[in-house]
Amino acid sequence: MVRKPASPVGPLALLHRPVPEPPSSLRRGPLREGAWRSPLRSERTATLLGMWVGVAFAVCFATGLLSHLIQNPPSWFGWPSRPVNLYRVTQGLHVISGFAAIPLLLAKLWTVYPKLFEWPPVRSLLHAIGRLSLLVLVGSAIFQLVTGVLNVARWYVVMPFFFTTAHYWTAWIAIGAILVHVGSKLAIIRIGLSEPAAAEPPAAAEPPAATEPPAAAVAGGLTRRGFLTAVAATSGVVALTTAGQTVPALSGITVFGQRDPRLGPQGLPVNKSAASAGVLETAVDPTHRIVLDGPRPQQLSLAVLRSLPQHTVRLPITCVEGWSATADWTGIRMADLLDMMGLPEDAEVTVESLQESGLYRASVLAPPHSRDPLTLLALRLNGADLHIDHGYPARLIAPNRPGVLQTKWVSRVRAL
Amino acid sequence: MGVEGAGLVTSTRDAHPDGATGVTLSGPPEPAPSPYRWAWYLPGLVAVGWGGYGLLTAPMGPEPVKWIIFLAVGIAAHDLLLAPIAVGAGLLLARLVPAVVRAPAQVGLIGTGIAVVAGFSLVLGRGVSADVPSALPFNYAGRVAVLVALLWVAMAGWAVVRIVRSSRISADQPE
Repeated sequence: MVRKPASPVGPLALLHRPVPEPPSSLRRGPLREGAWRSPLRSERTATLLGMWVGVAFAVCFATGLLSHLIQNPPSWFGWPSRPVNLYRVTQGLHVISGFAAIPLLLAKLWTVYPKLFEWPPVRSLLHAIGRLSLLVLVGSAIFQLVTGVLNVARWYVVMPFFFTTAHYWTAWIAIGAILVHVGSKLAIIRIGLSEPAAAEPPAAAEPPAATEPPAAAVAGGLTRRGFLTAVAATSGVVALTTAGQTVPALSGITVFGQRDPRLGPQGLPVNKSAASAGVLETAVDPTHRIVLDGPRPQQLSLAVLRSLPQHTVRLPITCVEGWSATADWTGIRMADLLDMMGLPEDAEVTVESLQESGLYRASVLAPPHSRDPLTLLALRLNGADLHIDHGYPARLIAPNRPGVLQTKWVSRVRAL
Repeated sequence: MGVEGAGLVTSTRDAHPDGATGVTLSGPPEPAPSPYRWAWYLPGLVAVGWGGYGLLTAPMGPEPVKWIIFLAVGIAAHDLLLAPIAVGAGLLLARLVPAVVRAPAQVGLIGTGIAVVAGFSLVLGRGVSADVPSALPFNYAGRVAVLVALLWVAMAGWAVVRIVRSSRISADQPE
């Protein structure tokens, strides 16, 4: 259904007023009419790719927002301690879907690239505003994927900002711009989805159907369906070759993952070393005591900690960069320590590290994690004392929690 | 011959970004904007506004100029580098590659390009640190190369199948 709306009046008329068209002599190269001839571009192609990009970004946004809320919980937010692998799944999905979005976004941008050269470049003030707004959409989408990839590659020096903050807030802009874009394209999306199959160009194996240059040039090339299949398959391969950093069975085919979940001290990857945390000496100091700072304050040596009832749990450690690995942890139940401190069931504590500075030198441990029987002050990993890079002499390990909140080289447990 | 020399323009509608109806140069009138568009605009604009507010006010937030420059560099890298390379590759492919193997070559180029874009920062290895040897533990250049090689082996196989089929079809044609 095509209709012509009523002409706007008043101030809106200024926005819609046509602007003079540039001289046609400027219309050269990619600006020429008919310059863009690939039959792979169509409204249906753009619509389907846009939907796929939208789904990938929605998954990224939802899982990223979840991770942010877990790390910075507002009063209304609660995060369970079970299932123990839930965060592992959501954050693994965050990174996998981000990498999978790379071919989808690039294919989508290639499909609409000729619109960059539309003529006239500006038809009205409103048209100009609309075109400029696309910079926000495209720019924020590229920003998110580039910074995400750089984070996985640990290449921080090329980002002139703190990755976490910029990535989080730009995600809101990206997802908002996608919503606005979808709203502005609803009618065209409907047309694109209902475009008949007859719009398909000639099948790839067919000989040229005509002698005119465009058809002859594309003969034997991909059909639109073939193009979409190739893009989807590429996205799937990228996802599979990224997932190995959290799915051990796929680690052998990892290409874009940051970790092999089996590699590292004691068979477990490390994200922050004792050296970079500046605790190489303090962590092995025999006079080191863990301070329990509550109604019944105490200072516990490693020997005393080892004399307390020990429990072994099998839990994953999950990094915000998407990798995760399961290990056997042995130590004292945090619930027992909180009882020793004389704290009530609903008490919250801060677990602090020997690390003297850094955003993640301390974490808040609140119910349900604080009283979960799987939450330990771990002293051992996979049957041996903790490696110093894993937090010797003691570290926090709790179910369904980001790795940055699993405080290493614990020095103090303080009641809030 | 067009910029890409690879077929017919099939998309001539060009929506006004505000959803308003208009007429493109060579296409039919644009469809009327959806009455439901504001159901998308409102949450979208709120999200964009919230993100902008956060960027400007969050502790440890980016300096606006640096954020804008990074954003602009990303757009420029795509529009002035990646996209022209892709378009140029398509043009060369249409001119130089025989039609019978064009589709496998296209898929090979798509996959190769994606592997390079997705893997370049890992291959460069600037984030590798002797301090944390378990991070970035792979020979990424080798793994990307193997992935691309496997892709081209598969595409070569597909090309052979197409060539054989094409020659059979030609042989069946009456002289």
